[in-house]
Amino acid sequence: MAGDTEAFFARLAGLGHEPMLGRTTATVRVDLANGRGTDHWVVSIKRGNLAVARSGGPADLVIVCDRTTFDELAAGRLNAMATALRGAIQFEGDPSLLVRFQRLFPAPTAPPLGASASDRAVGKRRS
Amino acid sequence: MAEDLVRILDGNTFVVSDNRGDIEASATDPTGLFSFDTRFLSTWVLTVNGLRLTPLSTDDLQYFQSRFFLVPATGTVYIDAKLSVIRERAVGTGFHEELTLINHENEPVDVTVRIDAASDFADLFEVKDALLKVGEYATRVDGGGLRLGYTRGTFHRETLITSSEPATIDEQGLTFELTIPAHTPWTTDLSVVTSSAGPGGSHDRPKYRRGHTHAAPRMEHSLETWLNDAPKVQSDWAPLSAIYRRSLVDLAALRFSPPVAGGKSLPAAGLPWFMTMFGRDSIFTSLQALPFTPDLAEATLRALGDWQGTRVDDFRDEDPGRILHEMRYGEMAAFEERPHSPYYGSVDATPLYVVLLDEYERWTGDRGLVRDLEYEARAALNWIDEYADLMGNGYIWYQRRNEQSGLENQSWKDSWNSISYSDGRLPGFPRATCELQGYAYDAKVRGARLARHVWRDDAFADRLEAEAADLKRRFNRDFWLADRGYYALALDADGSPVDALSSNIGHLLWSGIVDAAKAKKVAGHLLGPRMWSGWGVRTLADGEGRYNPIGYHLGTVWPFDNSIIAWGLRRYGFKEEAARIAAGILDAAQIFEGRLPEAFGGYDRQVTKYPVQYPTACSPQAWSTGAPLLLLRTMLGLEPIGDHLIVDPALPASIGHLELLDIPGRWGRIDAFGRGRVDVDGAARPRATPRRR
Repeated sequence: MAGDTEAFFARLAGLGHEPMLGRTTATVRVDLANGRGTDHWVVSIKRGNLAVARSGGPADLVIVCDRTTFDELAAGRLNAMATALRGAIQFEGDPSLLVRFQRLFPAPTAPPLGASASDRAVGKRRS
Repeated sequence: MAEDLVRILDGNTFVVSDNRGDIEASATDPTGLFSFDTRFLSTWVLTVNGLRLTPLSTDDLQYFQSRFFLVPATGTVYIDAKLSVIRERAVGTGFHEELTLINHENEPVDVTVRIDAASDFADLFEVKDALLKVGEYATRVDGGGLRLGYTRGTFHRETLITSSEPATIDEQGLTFELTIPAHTPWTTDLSVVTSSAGPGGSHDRPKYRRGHTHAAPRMEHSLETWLNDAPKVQSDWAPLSAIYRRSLVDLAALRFSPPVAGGKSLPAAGLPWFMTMFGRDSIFTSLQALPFTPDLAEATLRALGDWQGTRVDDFRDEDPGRILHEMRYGEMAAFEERPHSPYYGSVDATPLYVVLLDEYERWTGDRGLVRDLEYEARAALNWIDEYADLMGNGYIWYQRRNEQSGLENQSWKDSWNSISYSDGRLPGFPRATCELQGYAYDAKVRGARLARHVWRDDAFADRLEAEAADLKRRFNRDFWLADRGYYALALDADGSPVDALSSNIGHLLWSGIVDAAKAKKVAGHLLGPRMWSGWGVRTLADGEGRYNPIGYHLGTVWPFDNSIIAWGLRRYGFKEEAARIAAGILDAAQIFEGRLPEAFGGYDRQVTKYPVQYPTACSPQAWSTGAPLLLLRTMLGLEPIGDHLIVDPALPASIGHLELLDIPGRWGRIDAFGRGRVDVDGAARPRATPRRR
């Protein structure tokens, strides 16, 4: 089943070289729970040269989340760092690699979550 | 009450309590145990036999450790305690508290010791703005510990409280029913550990445990290393050594290792509320500290480089190439009720990033880092022209795109009314403040140097130099107010110069964008009666419509601002004027016992005799801490040229002899000497026209 996640990794594979990651050499694995099992994607970065594979194996950074969440990230409907702060994606390994990897996600295509929750009650200030 | 609060911290974990060690926070009261911008304890109250304790003394052992000596309250002024209570607390992954009761009687004593504990899991922003919580609380007693939890969807925060001695634990705290023998101490180790993992997730052990706190905890050790690695100051003016040491120790406390910095430390903005990455503050502090602790600059450049903007994101005011303003980790950032994940709404951090990279290389010779960060530096330079020029006329402008929670003023004077006309009117948006253009000019000049000598891209260097020259020419035409003899504070959206006289013109000297022929007039204003208070240069000149000597950016004196201005004066050869600023700010530092506040009142020195501190929540503040360091540099006239360090001292006479030993840099270690010859006695009686040799 093709979706936003597949399109995202296909785009990475097509990039070849990504200068934003020019000083990065590392392996990032993405483990996606799809309800029946776990899909594995591996992005190998060699001084900005990207290679993508659907496989497991050891990695410097492992990102773990459910398939639906990753679809949202891949399409720019969720912000990766806010999602990580919410605990909706977990990661193991080098945090600075997560910061660099999230550069690959597209610009936002949806309003921030908080925009719909702006009616959040304001308590009384102490005088 | 605030002055009685005791604060200890380790990175962005800190505890604020009263002088008994107790925490009784309300929704808006900023006490508690905080970590990663979340309050993990809002109640932590010790009673003995149902009574609160009375403090005898509090020792701030280290910035991460304190000790409270207490006795049970007697209800009278007489203290004749049969029981002593000592709480020794060290922060790190939560905190560890060693609680000791000593029975001074000749017979055993039965006591009930109780610790009440609770957490509201408030976000730092909620503490500021008094917002109500959305998620659900869960408190559990299990496995010999008390678990305080908070959950909102996938967002979990938990505090685990355990005791080394057996306790009766309920959902509100821990109780110890004790019989303490005669003349005997009883001790338990209380551990309060924070976690952001989900339910059942593991908690790290506390960083300090008994034994560690007494022996040599890692932080204390590294403080010694930190002090030993820094250059040594010797001076005839004794307070200078104390001020210098205070700065180094405070800078150590302000070091912050965000998860992305690979274990390296960069300066956070201020204690305790701003223990996070701030682009502007981390960059300025790294610049001030470069001759002393160049590692801070490297960590700052790497971490801010990792976080450099890559997308157009209106909520975060993010653009490709833009350097972040502020990072936060709490619930409101997580749920995008605030944009700080991270927020990019500052326009000076990006050109200053290039300035710091170049200045770092000039001191350290570390071309490897300049090569590593070539992409980021080019992206920052590109941002200046492609994203910051909102009006398409070759200047940096700002206007927030996040109208809900973005910052209106995105330069260092970020309060809402800081940018005004002489008559007090506020300009429209977008705005182009003058110092931003100076930073852009400097970034282009320095970027050209890096391009030519490190990246080996002469064409890019030529282009940057041509753009810089053009910017300087236009700036001196468009911002210069010929009838006033100074540069406008800003351009309004319609191009009108915003004509207030402000300290921002001092930053222009630092950036080198000032035409040589205009520099003398600028220096004259900075040291003239409207701007010079006797202690320092005011943010806004006396006589301006919004001038207020205790207005945040409207007339107060900022030590950080003054240190940059002194650097600028040196750049244009105004040695004596720079020495007068150094003398004034260091005099103030002496009165503040070595720790300069963020800002102090702009009252005339002749009137108040003492500098009047501006009330702020953060102390120490990183770039105030860095100010004496930069002033040491400007007084000694330290300037790296090639592989050499030029020393060209111009010291206030009151300083006498000054030695700065073991200055690290591309030359290895080098010593600098100077003798005070500049008469700054006239400092309290400002001269209308500064003298020049």
